Amino acid sequence: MHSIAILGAGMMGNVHARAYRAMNQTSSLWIVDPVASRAGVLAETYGAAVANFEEVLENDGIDIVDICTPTFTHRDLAISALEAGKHVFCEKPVALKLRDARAMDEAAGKSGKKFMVGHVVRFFPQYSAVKELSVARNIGEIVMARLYRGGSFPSHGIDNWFADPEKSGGVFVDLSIHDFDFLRTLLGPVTTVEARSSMLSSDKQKSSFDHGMAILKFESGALVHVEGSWAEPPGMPVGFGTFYEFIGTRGMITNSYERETTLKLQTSIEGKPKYAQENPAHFDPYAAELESFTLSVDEDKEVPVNGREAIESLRIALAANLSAKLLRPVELSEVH
Amino acid sequence: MTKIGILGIAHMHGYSYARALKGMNDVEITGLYDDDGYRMNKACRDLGIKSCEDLEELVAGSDGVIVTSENSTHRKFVEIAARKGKHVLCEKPIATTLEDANAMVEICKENNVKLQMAFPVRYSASVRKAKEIIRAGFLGDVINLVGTNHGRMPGGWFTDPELSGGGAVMDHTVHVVDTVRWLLDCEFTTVYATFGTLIYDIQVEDCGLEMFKLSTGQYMTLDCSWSRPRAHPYWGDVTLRIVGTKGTLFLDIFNSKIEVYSNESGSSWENYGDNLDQLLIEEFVEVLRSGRSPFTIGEDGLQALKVVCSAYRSFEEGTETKIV
Repeated sequence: MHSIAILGAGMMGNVHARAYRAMNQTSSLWIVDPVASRAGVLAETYGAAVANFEEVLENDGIDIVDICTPTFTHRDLAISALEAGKHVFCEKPVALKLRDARAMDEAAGKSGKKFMVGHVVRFFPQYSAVKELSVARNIGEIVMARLYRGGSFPSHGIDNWFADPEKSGGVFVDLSIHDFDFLRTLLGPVTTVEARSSMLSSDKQKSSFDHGMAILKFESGALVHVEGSWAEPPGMPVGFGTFYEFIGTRGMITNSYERETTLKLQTSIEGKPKYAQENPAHFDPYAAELESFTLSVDEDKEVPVNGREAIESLRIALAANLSAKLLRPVELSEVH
Repeated sequence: MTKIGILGIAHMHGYSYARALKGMNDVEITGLYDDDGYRMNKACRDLGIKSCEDLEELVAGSDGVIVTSENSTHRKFVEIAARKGKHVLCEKPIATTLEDANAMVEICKENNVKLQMAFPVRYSASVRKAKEIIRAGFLGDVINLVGTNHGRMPGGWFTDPELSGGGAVMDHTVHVVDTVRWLLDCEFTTVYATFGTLIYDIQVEDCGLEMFKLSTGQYMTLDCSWSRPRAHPYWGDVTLRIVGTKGTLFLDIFNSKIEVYSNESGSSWENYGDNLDQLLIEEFVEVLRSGRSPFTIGEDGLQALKVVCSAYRSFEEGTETKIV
């Protein structure tokens, strides 16, 4: 039985606390957040205790630290936790800079503890099925793809940190990195990125807003278009969605949040219109992800998404940012 | 009676235009000419129209002509028509080289004939409405655009570079480019293009992705790939997402679909929306009758082809290229 400290009581901290509690009713959970009231609410909801980070590091009973804090804080928290002998699960993106991510991975290597990064899209069933389907249904080698991921701006970030490219990295580093990571697992290494984003390329900027488009070339020859959006207005009925199409030499595979939805609601609640479009499911990809991590700890085996992999996925996102900034195609080898 | 001749039936859109003409009052199809006698006779049988061995005579006896020959032969037919003072509706892309396209625009001007470009997407009611929405400021400042024009691999002469001028990039760049030029009143200023022959064993590219900068400051990507498999229930798409500071707009021009599932013939989608080819042809007939300028003109075809030719140059050079 694990004793787990969740750092950060924001949106992801909530998701992870719920998942851990669903996995195990009696495991001991700790919540760390500089805002005591946030930590308190989350701890109460999931039967956890509130602690500060020093207490967590000193408490030998706590074997796992799960980092759900803003990206710019990941490095120091992860390294401290690893050096204190904790296994570390870190939300994506692993860090904002490759050297920070490498420092984290090296700390993990030195400590001999498990270090996993939360590229959860690999655990979403409509994504994890792609490879298998492409083989089972004989669509041939995947040579082209389009992926979309986006919705409203993530205004839930404390002090609106997502709006600061120095803190979040913008839409490529924070959001499209999901697709970059998934594509790497499916198609292998990327060679060239041509990208633009409103945050880094446009002369008509707007705060709390970003939209990016990236054209990726893979070593395999595959061509891919990735679109990431924080451009939908706030308060829309459908706040977030994903789309993909994978083109094989003998067919294609496609999935869209707009087409494929299992629950639609239109009503009015106390006079206010209420619309929802959802895909509720018993299966929780976040729980599957965290379970795979604790299993790696239990059985002392390699984690599904290690530091090296997270570094490579970050590298693509940083290449997109560099391209968007320089307004020219960027070779992956330029980003180190 | 408005008399219209058809020059070349290599492009399948020629069939669609002929059918549109046949459904109109006071319009007569004077006949069809094609360099390929077999193709000409087959089309004439299929469409119930007259075949004409004598090209000059067919043009002389028409008020206007529709050119739906292979891309690289558009110029020849347009020049014959222009010299005889006949208005022209020309299939897209206008030509395969800028030299040809310039010559076509020029000769039509010199002979005072109208040159209409077959850019049917611009006639879509959704595109018109989108322009009103943008003009009204509902999207705020437009920042980025994301377009697609997917299709099936058409085969035949489309994969012969001598006749087509290129593959998916030549075939599927111009519709969305023309639509955006009109929507935003802009020109395309730079392009980075990457493409490949990834799906089929053919002589031209079947997949392409392009990144543009527009004169009005926006960036735009376009996927022009022949990436719809034969098994797909529909020929392809034209879509455009327009991202502004106040909102977003998504166009899926051919999405007025009826889904059909047949044990005999598999699944297929049938479009019940406005027939854009019909609207294009009605415009041409109106141009012939009134003498006014068409909504989509030769200059539009030329500008769109500039984007295409620059895209090929960008690919050769591996860099972003100025559109000239």
